[in-house]
Amino acid sequence: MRVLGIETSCDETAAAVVTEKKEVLSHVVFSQIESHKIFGGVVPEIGARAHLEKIQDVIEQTMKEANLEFQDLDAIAATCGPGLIGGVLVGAVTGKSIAAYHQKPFIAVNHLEAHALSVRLTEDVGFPYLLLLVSGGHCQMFHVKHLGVYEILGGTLDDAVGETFDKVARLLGLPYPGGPAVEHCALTGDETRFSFPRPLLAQKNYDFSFSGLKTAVLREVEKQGPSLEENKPHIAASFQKAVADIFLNRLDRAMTTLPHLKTVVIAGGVAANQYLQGHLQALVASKDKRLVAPPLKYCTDNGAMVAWAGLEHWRLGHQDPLTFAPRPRWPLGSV
Amino acid sequence: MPKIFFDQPLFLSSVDHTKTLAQRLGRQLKNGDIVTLEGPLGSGKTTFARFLIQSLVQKPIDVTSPTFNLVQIYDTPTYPIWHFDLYRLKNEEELFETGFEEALSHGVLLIEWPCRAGSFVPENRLNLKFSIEQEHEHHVKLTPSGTWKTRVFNE
Repeated sequence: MRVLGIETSCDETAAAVVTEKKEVLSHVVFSQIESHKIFGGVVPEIGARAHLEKIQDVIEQTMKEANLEFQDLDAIAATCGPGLIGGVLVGAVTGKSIAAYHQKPFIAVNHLEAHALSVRLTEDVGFPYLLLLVSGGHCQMFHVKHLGVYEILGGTLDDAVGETFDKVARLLGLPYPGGPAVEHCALTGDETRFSFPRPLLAQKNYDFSFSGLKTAVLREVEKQGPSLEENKPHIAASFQKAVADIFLNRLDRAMTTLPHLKTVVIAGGVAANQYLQGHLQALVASKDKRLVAPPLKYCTDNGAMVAWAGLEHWRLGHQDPLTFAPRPRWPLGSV
Repeated sequence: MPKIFFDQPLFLSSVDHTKTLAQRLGRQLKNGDIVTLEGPLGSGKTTFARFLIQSLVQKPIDVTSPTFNLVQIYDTPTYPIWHFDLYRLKNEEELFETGFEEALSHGVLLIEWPCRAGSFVPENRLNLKFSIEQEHEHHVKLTPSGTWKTRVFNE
């Protein structure tokens, strides 16, 4: 059983082929393709989100690396939302066209569900589990009950956590993306030097808020003036500690309320932060539970997670009509 | 009670003050209106947009930052609200990936970092410029252009 997955909902143009034996036969993200098209000796500047200009190259490369023809596929899956309408349309229409021409089943995949299930492609994780989805655009906690049944426990009321790292990096004059830059800068810092707020912790729910924390860092940066350079690592470390405390508090609550969940999954780009992962790991282990994170290449947006989510649905007999309309808004609770 | 004055800095003394101003502006908005929000990181653009959207949607709703996703869409009883943050736009053409044309044809548009879209943002708009004058002192200046200049406000 081989499924092609197509991802175009935000920044990345990506595709992959996976099998039901959890083999990833190919995995292509446009930014990794080296031989860009050359017109008259110049490499044209292709817009970051110009998916239409990239999709054909990406899919050709994906099929070539998998050493397959379209007729060898069993199904085609494409992200059909949530995301930017321009991107989602390109991926969805491409997927449907391949499905229609080669008479293959088509599966419309929810981008967030693909992140939620990605861990099952690389690890042995059964339902149910607790999921922390933490990335540039998302910060939510789910109770993943079965395939297709996701109960949202809580989410951010303002900024996503990855976005907060990016904005703090900007304030500190660190490069983009901010996650790795702040983590690296914090290595030599004293995390007890500055006391930043941990918003919402008094509330007995699973919601997050990072806007006030960002503003507190801004105030501290303004206050520092010329001594900023010297105190940068301490600000980065103290900020990161505040973020870790927020996650530990929310996760602890969820594990106490839902004690039957033995596995905690952390997915999304922020899962790559080793400091956060280390703290979460210690908490989860202290409760006799297991913390699992997919490898980084499947944490950021990719085609393999879309192919896998499509495969999970298809092997249970689900497929979608070619009339399926892309959905810029498509909350995971309603899959 | 904060009034809406054009072309002069209004001092936002508290979060409640910001909320009241957002609600007052919300009552003036109609389908097709464009409000742009400028100002540095942490100056209050998204907070203002949140209060404005919540007042228009007329029910409790989470308004999350559109910085990463570029746009978030909300429904009111009569039109959608498109909340854009164009900071991550790398060139003007990318705007069309976001559904911007559809937004222009139906809905109210709130646009943070409008400068990233260059000339694609129509002239008829109300611009809100947020600033932090001294520590903790948030200000906003409302500047109308095009038909907004002659707009009659119902209080």
